[in-house]
Amino acid sequence: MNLNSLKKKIATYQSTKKVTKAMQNIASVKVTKLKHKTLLTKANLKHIVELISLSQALEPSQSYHIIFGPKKGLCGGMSRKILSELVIKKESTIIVAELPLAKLISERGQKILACYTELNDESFPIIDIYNQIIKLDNINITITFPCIINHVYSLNNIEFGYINSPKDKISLYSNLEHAYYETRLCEETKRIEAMQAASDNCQSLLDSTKLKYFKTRQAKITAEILEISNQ
Amino acid sequence: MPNIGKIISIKGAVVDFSFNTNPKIFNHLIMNKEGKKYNFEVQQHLDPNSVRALAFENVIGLSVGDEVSDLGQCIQVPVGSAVLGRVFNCLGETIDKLGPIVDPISEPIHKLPPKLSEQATSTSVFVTGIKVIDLLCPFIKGGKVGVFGGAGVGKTVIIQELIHNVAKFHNGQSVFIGVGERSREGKDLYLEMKESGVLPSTAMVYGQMNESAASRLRVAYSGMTMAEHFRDANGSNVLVFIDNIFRFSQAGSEVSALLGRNPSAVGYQPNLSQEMAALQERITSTKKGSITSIQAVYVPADDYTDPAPATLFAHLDSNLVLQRSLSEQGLYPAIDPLSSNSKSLTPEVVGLRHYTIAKQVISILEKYNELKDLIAILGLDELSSEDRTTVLRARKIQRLLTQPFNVAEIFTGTKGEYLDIEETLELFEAMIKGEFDTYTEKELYMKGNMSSIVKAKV
Repeated sequence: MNLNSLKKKIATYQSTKKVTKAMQNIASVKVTKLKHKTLLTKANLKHIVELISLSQALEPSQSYHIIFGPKKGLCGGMSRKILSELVIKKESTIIVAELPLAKLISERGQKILACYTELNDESFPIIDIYNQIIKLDNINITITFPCIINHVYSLNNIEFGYINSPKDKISLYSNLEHAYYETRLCEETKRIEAMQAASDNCQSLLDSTKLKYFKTRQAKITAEILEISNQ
Repeated sequence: MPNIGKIISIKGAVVDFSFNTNPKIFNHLIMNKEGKKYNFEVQQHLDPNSVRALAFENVIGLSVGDEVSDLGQCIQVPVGSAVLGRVFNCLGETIDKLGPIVDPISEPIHKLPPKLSEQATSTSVFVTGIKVIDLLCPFIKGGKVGVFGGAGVGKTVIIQELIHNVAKFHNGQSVFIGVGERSREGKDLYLEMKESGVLPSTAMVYGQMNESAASRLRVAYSGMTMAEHFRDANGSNVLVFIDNIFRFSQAGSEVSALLGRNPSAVGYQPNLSQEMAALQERITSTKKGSITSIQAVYVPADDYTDPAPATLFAHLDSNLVLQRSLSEQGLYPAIDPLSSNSKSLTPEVVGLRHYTIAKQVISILEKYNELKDLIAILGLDELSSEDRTTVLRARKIQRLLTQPFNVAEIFTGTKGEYLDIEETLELFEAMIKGEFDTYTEKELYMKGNMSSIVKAKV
């Protein structure tokens, strides 16, 4: 390998490392923000779950599976991890939040009813899903979302029959909201990990390439000196 | 009446003689002194009665006044079927301790290359039976292949397999020329060839690094003379191996310095390109038969602009690059599909189907190479689905390019496989179409043709 290509490689690794480091920092900031929101939704949820615990579930005539996944890539292959653990009932209609996971599910050959993408942290995020679901009667809903408990990643399933009462509406809404924030939190936490690993990998590639670069440069200098001294 | 001369000066390997009538340039002079035989080759005429010659042996024990006789001809080496299975030095003497050749047919080592009118003009592919070579860097009959790669990456095994396949499937002979390499390696190769059973179709000629510059320079010609005889007299397709062609240039440079010629670029001999061309032009296909050569190339300090390798490149048709990183992964033959290339990989020579398949295979491997950095930093999971498929397919292609060798059968216990070009194309066409996507990498590793892979899976 010649000097120029090694130099280019070093520059690429350096800029990649800058990007991954920046992504790691951004993710860290987001995590702090999301943690707060997730905790809030969790508190709400607890309260509502107690409220509806007495409600009776009807025989479902239709079942829906709402799956939450990461918004973007570069979070340690989270979409693929979710996919590998995901169990979907045969008769379920699938609704997926965020495109990366939806793509993978459809590649696996499963039909998706709707995919919600670019849900925004600032706006009312799951309102659209909620509005769609709320129109339907007698349905069984499963919500799947990733979460991190004590630094360990796992896939969470919430299954509940849906009754068209105000209480249940609140319950569904809260669950969706919680799943959304939990997923976001999980994604950003995973991103920190992934970017940290990527920055480390960049560093080790940088180290080895720099060594190669210096060796090649030294060899070139030595050859030139030899040539001059032999003349 | 033999032409007798006397030594008038000795300067290292350069010896000057006085003669009444000067022997011709390149004439072979011999001397017997105290039971030892000394050989010389006339290089220069100094004046009408004295010549400068190079010694093929160490000059210890010679003194001014010693008598030498001119044989009246240049060095002659034995040729024909008698040389098969034997080992020679550059003077055509056997060195395998099996006795001299009885009543040999001999030919001079200095010859002109075949005339343009005698050369074959059609380009036909030389099928080697090795998948990676036939698919990605096909050899042409009468072509010249450069093999790049350090020690211990499997160069010898590839050479042996080629000799084996040429003997078994093309009924051809091979000539192995050892130029300026370690004598231990030469001995190892001889023993390995004997063990793997390819020796009877091979002649070996050695001028290794312990020998004089003159013998290292001339050994290539001696070997070529044997190969030319097989081509011209038997009409065979001959394989010539030269290990290592750089040492030929190096020996030429030593001889040039000894003879007092002015050094040219980087200290090489002024006639570097002429010397190389004189040898390379003899390696060609004629209307009778063909000589295909495989030449190991040492690139000094990996500098491809060095005059010696740079002069050689102009002659080569294909480059075979062996990569240590591949042999470390157990991917044998360790031929790097991306760095190796062949001028004959064009639709006109190999046909459109072969060309398209080869280009697709290369593009998949290239894409994998581009993604390697990304995988090293972010991991395989971060790749898009198409890229993941490419990576998985490229890894399978790498495994599919491995092949069990006949000559390695005694070491690996796996039966060797020879694939004709159709089988190779069928295999890689299926790979590109994704027919092997359900196969694991292990199921494609060290396998032969399609049926053997399918059979192993079932």
